Amino acid sequence: MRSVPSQDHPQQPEAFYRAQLPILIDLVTSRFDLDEITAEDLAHEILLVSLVHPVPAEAREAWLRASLLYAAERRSPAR
Amino acid sequence: MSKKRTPDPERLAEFLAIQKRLERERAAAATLDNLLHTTPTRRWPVLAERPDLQTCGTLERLGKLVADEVGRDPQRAQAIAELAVSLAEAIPAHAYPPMMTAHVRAHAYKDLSTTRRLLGHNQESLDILTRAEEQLGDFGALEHDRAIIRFSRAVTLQELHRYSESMTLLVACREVFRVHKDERRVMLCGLAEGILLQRLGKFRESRETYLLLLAGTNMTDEDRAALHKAIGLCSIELSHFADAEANLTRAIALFRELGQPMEGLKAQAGLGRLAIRKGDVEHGIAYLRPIRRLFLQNSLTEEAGICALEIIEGMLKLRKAAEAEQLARLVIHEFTSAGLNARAISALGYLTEALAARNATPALAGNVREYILSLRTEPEREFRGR
Repeated sequence: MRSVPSQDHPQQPEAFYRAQLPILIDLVTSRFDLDEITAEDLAHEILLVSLVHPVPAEAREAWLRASLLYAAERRSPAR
Repeated sequence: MSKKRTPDPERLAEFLAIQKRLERERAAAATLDNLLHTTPTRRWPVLAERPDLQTCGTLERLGKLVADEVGRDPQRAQAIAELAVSLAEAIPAHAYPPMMTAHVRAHAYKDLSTTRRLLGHNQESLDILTRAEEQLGDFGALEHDRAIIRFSRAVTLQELHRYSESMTLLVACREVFRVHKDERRVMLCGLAEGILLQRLGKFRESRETYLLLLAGTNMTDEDRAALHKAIGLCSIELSHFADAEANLTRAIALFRELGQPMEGLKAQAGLGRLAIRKGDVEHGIAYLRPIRRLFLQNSLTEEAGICALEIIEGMLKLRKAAEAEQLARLVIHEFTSAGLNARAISALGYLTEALAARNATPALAGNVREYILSLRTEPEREFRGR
């Protein structure tokens, strides 16, 4: 389970970060009573963790969203 | 729709710096295999004091090595896992963002707990898993990691016969894996549920679980072969002999394609059991004899012994107690020569005495077989002869 072929981490990290960050921020602010700064904090943390958590490329977006939503839920109740 | 946002430059810089650093660490960790190979195991604790090894890259590599070794040499896997825990604990406080450190520490402990479980120390394995989960603190973003650790706990709880707690965890973990689109672990949860149901003697429910998994898409050919074999064995217990034969035959073919002849042989042994259960006892015994010989030729003494116990069960059905006794004595000799678990040998001794006294039953042979199988995960378990 811990084997990590290259596709388990983003191949173009800067493009990945730039693309994912606004999507993740929107996801949090649309579902939780959290401000953009907090949402950005959470999104940044998730993106950092994604660097060490091996996730197949095809599941990466779902993993990011699920992890972010769990994190946001702990910070704030859902609307 | 997302607004076009420019990321905070400092945060982007942090992300890219860590990514680059991890690349360097992963490249450096490529020499780790050789380092472990050339350093005596007794000196590995000293390696934990090296700052250049106290990195996420090293811990990733060690995690892979544990996964590779755990099926082959659990003792060595344990030594690697212990080194990983020491290194993880030694990572300086601000070396990485706290969540990253929590992640690598938790997985190091989780790997150690796996090795302890495989070596039969189930309670200690649970205690280590508690420490693994503690590393995750309150980080909601690490829920997937939390589920991975709890899945390990569910597997360990099964070894301690704490089935209801195990099932509760498996159901919860499967949902977390499903949400995170971790299809493989969803499948593993299903497999663990099937095994749990088998252990409870709920062969119908177990088979249904396996059949549902078989209908899934994200599995390897090895998984598929294992599922067909499991379905076949459940079907024997349900006296669904046609289904049993079809599934075991499919498993044999898949293992052959995978180049796993010994796994194929185990599935073939299932066909021998099937014949005996159907009442075609002479045929079943004749079928199992060459399989047993092949296990012995490949030094799979325990598998050969399990095969022999199936044959003994058949012989007792044919009232051939003298032949059964002779075979049982031969198996004791094989187990003793191979240095296998003394408890297994004692159980075989009990069976042999019953055979000599001519009051052994096919059920007793079956019990001894199940007991010896159980020693793989519970090497300290007591035998209760019936």
